[in-house]
Order: sequence, then structure tokens, then C-alpha cells
Amino acid sequence: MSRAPRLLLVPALVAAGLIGVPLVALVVRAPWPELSRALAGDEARNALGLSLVCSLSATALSLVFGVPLAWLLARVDFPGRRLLRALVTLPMVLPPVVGGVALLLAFGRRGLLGGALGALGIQLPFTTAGAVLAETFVALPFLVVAAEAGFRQIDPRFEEAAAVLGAKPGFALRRVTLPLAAPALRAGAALCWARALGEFGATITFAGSFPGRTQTLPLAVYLALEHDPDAAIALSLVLLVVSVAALVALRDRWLGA
Amino acid sequence: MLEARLELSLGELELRLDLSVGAGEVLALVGPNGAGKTTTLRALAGALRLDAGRIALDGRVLDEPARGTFVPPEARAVGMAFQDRLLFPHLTALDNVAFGLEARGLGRLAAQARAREALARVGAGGLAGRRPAALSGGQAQRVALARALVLAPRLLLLDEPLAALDTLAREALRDELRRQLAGFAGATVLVSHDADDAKALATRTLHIEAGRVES
Repeated sequence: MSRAPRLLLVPALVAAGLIGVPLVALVVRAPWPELSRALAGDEARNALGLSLVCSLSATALSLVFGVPLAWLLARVDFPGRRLLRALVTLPMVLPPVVGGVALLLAFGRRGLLGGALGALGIQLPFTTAGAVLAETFVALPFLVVAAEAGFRQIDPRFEEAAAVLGAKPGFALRRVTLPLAAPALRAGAALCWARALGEFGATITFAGSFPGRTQTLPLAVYLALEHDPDAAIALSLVLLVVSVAALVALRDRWLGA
Repeated sequence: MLEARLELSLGELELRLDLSVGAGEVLALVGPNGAGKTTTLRALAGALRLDAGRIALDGRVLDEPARGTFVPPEARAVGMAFQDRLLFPHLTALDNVAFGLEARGLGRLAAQARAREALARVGAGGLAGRRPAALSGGQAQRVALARALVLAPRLLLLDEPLAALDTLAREALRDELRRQLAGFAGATVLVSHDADDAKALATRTLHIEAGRVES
């Protein structure tokens, strides 16, 4: 360990405080005696339940479609691969509200695919399915990036060995590739779920904020701040606890030793 | 009986090799790094496709680009022990050996029973429950050998079977390999950078360099 020059120490402490003070404030100013009342309200319970359903659905969709995409990006050299990777990663840096607008222009009633979906009797904007779609749009990249890194870490000779030993590609995938990538997939799924659970901008833009249908936890927090601040703080605490839990689950990958 | 005329380019390497190995014969390919030894085995196993030429095992054509014939690795009667062993790290020794049998559709219990026998035959019966990380180099090589032999292949490929072992383990394994090869009915091709190992195990040795037989 080296001694820190004062020039660095001060800004470093400011940075830590910038993140630490608001989090401490949330815990200190929480209406602890009121907590159970605030969380027991219909609004909070609905939002919590809906958030769980939507974020878990978004994580499941991300696994089903994102893991194959990640494998493709990691293992197959096709033209446009770098472009596709950039495109898939874009939602990580895109303002979520822009994502919501883009989703409206794609799947809205007058969107690119809105007519075709309407003909099939499918309506996505301002529905629970729409909230799931918005969360998936924002959270999927986190899974893809983690899974691709996981697949890349696997020595391709293991897959070759599996084939030489008699495994057809599907068998090798199930019995060798996926188990070897499992830690990365778990981390990616946790990250993806945490991101989906906290999603605000794309969801409110594309799915609106209808209690019980599209009003997820973050939307409920924002709206409750006006008429029931205690409930808003209580719900924020719930999200904080979930985030900390996700971070703990990822500690081996992110926090190092 | 293996009959092969191999022509393929891989990076810097231009492989041009004619091989003929009878049943019960052990051919050793000896040469420096980059000579094309491992590439030859990968082509025979079907992990690489020939550019031209032909591979036939017991009269069955496995690869012949001119006729558009290519039998994928999982459909060849070939067993291979890989350089660096390449035991699957998430499976026990037993499940590593059972892997090829299960891949061919054998039920889990039947595959494990045969894998147990195969491990015992190479003197590794006590290692069944261990993960590769808990095996020594010599133990891992025995498991790798069992994994290749359990498939009752017509062609056995051994890539540097004695590399990266200490002297004691190396001698014990050399004896074990000699016993196993004497009892093996098919053709064997083994690769080594060590001429002494080759002489001890093989019935015939080919020296190759830069993808060709050195005369």
C-alpha cells in the first residue's frame, strides 16, 4: 500500500460521499415504525407484485433469446458481427426514455409493426406485456454482454473434444458449453434482473403508469412521492435491498477479492 | 486399417502426408512443434476438413472432398486422447469417461457402468468420483485414455500422451500405455515430440517436419 497524496484524497472522499450520503439518508430518514403500514397498502403491494412478474418475465425472455445471441457473437464469425454487437449493447448507454419512444414507433398502433400486430389482435403499448417488453429492451444487453464474455472464456478445444468423443452439437451445447458458462450466465441473469426491476424511463414512456397493469415499483415510488412520501421511501428501501442483494450475488465477479 | 492421404492448409502449415496403419499397428508421428502432428490427428478425428485427399477407416470413407464426402467427428469410430487431456472440468472422472457413451445414446447408468470398467482397466478405478482439478498429470492421462478406449474405437489417436509428466509418472504411464496398446485391436496413431517415447510405444515411426515426411 502506498500513502495517498492529499491531492487525490480529497476528491476521492467527495466521490465516495456523493454516492454514500444519499444512500445513508435513505436508510436514516426511512419511516421505520411506519414501514409495514406503508408496504401493506394496496398500491405498494400491487406495484411490488407487478414488478416481480415483469422483471422475472423480462429476465426469462432475455435468457431465452439473449443466450443464443451471445453464443453467436462469441463463436461465429459472420459479417456485421461487430455492428450487431454494438447495436445490442446500445440500450446500456441510451437514455431509457429514448428507448421508450423507439418502442412506441416500432410496436405502437401506428408504429412500424403496429399494423401487423393489430391485425393479429395484439396490443403492446400501455399493457403489462408492453412493460415486460420495455424492461427486456433495457435489460437484455446486460445479459448478452456477460454471457458473451462467459462463452469466450471457454477453451474452444473443449467443444472440439466433445465432438470427437461423439457429441452432436446440441449435446455438446447442453452438456459442455452451457455448464462451463453457467457462472457467467448466472451473473448476467442477476444483473439483467436488477436492471429490469429498476427500469423507469422506457416503461413509463411505452407502457404508461396504470396501477396493477403497468405501474411497476419505480413508477409507484415516483408517483407516491407526492401524496404518500412514507410509502415512496419504504418502496425505495425495498429496491435498495434488492440491489444490494444482487451486488452480493455478483461479488465474486465485480468486487474482486 | 487406416488409409489416409492428407492435404490441407492451416495458417502457415501445408500438410501433405500419406499414412497407412494396419489393425494392431501403432504408428508414431515424431517431429518438432508446428510440424503438423496435432493437425494430422484433428483431421483424422474430423475436427478439421481436408482440402484434398482421402481418409478411409476399415474401407469406409470418412473424408474425401473430391466426392463431397465428410463424416462428422461424432459419426466416426475414432477415440482420441487430447493434448493437455482436455478433461471436462465440471464433470467427475467417471462422467468424463461416460460422456462419449451418453452422447451415442446409451443410458446414464449403463454408460457409467461401462465407464467404471474402463477406468479400472487403466488402473484408475479409484478416481471415479474425482474432478479433473483433483487429479495429478498421470492420473488425468489415465482418465483421458479410458475416455478414448471406452468407445471401442477402430482408430485410437493419442496426442502427446506422455508430455508434461514427472519421470516416475511418465515411466508408469509408459508401461500402462504399452499394455493397453498391445491389447488394442484397432489402428493407433500417436504423436510425440520425444523420439524415445515413440520408440518405446510404436511399431513404426514417421518423422515429420513442416507438414511432410522427412526422409
